[in-house]
Amino acid sequence: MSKKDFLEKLSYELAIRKIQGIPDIIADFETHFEEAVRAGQSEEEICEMLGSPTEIAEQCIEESTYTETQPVVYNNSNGIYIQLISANLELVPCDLPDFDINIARHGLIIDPDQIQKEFIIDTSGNSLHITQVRNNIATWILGLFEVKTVIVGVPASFNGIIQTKITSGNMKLIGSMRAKTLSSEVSSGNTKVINLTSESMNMHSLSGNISVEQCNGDLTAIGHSGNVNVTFHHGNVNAESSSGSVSVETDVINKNSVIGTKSGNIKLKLNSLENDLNLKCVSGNIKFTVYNLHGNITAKTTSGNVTGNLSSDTIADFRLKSSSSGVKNEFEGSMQPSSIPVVTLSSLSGNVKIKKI
Amino acid sequence: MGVIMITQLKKGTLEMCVLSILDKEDQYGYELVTLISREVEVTVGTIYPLLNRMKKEGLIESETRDSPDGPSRKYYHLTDKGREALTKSVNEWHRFSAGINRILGGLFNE
Repeated sequence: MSKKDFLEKLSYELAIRKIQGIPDIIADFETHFEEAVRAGQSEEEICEMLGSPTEIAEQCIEESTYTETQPVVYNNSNGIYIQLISANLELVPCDLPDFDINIARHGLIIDPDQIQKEFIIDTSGNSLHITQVRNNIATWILGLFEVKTVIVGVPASFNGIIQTKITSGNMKLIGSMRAKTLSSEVSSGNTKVINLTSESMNMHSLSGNISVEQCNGDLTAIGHSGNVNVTFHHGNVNAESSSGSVSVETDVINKNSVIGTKSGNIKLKLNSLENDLNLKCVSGNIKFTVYNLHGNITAKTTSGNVTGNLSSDTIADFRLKSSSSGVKNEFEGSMQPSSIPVVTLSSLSGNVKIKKI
Repeated sequence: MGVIMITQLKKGTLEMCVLSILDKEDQYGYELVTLISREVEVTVGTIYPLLNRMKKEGLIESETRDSPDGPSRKYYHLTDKGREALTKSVNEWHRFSAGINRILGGLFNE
């Protein structure tokens, strides 16, 4: 790798992680290159010694969470606010009237005294704050040897905000639960949410997978290198991943929605489309099935194939285009009254096909 | 798993190494990371984010000084807060490593 490639890749990796002060970080590395070249090293050798830009950017995230050792003060008090470093989180329903917090290691609950050193737990009213602190080297090192899992039992009456941020750990929310909104950020770990009802669910993951099952409400799931998998959903879905694939199964989309990837595939199964839907990828394939089409659908990819399955009684204005490959439309020649949904399929080098089901 | 633990262990102790080096003498970035990488097998690039964080926490400060024959250099020096943190860390480290050594010694004797 050359100096130029290294610095460009590093800027990119820092930018997608929304790291602050990128110019200063880049300047440090530019100086490092200058000094090392003067010391007689080649750009290639320097890059190898510095390590991968991804690893450096991950380290920046880790360092930025480390400084947030003071409990974060949130405006809204009715909610669950959790911030963890190198620990897993599990949210589960519980029968008790209050939050039930346990911390486990290898599946065994640990002594509350040990917890106090590493976790600041604050429950006041109907809100819960958990922050993890690494204030001395011994707990820091021991914490890394034994990855812990924070298990939060959520009372059935809870219907507030859930806001979680996890660096190096998994986020799980499993069991019938309600939340006003859910906002989850995971930087290297998987996200799994099952059976949640919420007005708005926002999930971000950098290097892990996002899996959402049997949830109810508007969902936005953004992955970077992991896959996004949404099954048996009720509500609108916006989903994106850069190198992972995205698979969505939902009953209805009635707001403008986007499902996109760069190199991963897109798979969508939808009962009813009531508004505009945009499916886009660069090198992946797109495959969609829509039973009741009342909105416009656009599916575009550059080098992959696009296949659309629509009920045989669908009435639409079909616009299929492939610059260098085959186009096939089983609806061709059907009657087309005015003001009907527009179905646009396009690929630069792949096949484009519409099928009747 | 083993590899991850070792990398993490290095990261955890790296801060103490930086503090200790700067306690003896002010250093500029390149010199500092070279010194560390000579002694410990470490991904050099990850030391810069560490330095930035330590600066934000007020453990170290930096100032730019001209160099006679190259780019101007960012020199790091320890603050009082950094000196305090170093004493605390070194004590903890001795306690921690003494414990580990006792365990290892015990296992080897059996």
